[in-house]
Amino acid sequence: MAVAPDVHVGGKLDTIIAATNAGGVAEVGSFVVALRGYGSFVPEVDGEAVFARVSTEPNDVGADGTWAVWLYRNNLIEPAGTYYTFTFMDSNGDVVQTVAKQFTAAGDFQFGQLPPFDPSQPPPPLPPHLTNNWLWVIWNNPQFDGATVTTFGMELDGDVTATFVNAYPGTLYTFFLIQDATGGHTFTWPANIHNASSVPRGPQQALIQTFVAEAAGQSLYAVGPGTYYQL
Amino acid sequence: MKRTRRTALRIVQLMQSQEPSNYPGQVVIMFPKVPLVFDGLAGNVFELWLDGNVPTASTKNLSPGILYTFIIRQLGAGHHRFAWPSTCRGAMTINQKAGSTSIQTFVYKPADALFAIMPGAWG
Repeated sequence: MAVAPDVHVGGKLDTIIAATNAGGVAEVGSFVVALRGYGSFVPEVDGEAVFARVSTEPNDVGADGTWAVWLYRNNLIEPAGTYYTFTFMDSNGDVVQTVAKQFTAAGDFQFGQLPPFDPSQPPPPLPPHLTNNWLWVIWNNPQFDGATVTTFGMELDGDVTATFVNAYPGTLYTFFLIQDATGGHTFTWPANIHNASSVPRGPQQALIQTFVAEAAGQSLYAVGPGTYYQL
Repeated sequence: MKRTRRTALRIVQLMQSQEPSNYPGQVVIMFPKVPLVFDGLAGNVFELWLDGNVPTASTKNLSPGILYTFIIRQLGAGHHRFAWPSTCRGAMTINQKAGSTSIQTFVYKPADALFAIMPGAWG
């Protein structure tokens, strides 16, 4: 059996639209309730597509401008995060007010006593600030782990054959390779790193080169030639 | 009335999508006064609009291993000079042409300096 709407919202139009216009003629208003925030999905309750049960037919609005609608609670609607907008218009069809509301409990509610809903609040939390994205890799344990940081330093105190694991697709990885005070050490790049520049051999000479991990996360490709420094 | 020149500095902090990333954050725009200080806590991409000479600049709060990109635009008639911070090694000579853009990316080596990861590019 389909779930029935259990939020009953009512109000009076003349609390929003003036009872009479500038010429003293009784104002006629209307309103529209719309479900928002469901994106590209079809909103559903209990597996059935739903639409707000609302009408602005004159016979649904009392002579004194009272109105009421039955709605589904937003926390019953899939996808999550929906809300309603109430748009009130005067007799010219001009919008007088638009207000957003969200309902998470069943019951009878007076429209004017409901707090407005701001779909942009709270803002998403900021990601944490990285304070250290550098990892010194020891030359005699030359495995670069892409799940730890994205910038690696290594001082070559001996000949090195390196490996690289756990690349995140689309991530830039930078290598800073430095010969020790003696120099002359070889550095063999990991087999899954492509277009890498040769490491200089002079004492305290360094190479910096940046790579991007491709979509499958298996290989890294140089984004440009390496840059050389004498430290 | 003598016009005073003011160099506009926009600091743009770009969002990275995955962990570990180069620098997760949000867009930040700043307009500091001369002297210029590139603050690593404000962003990792600095966009500098040169409408005058910048005789000195400096950096602070840089994080090890983070990539910092400098985008330098020549406004007006161009030919404005920019003195790179002393912490920048391998820094390019910026384009002097009016309306030009120079761009270069550096990585911060801990307790040391910013090292250019590639020669800069002109546009």
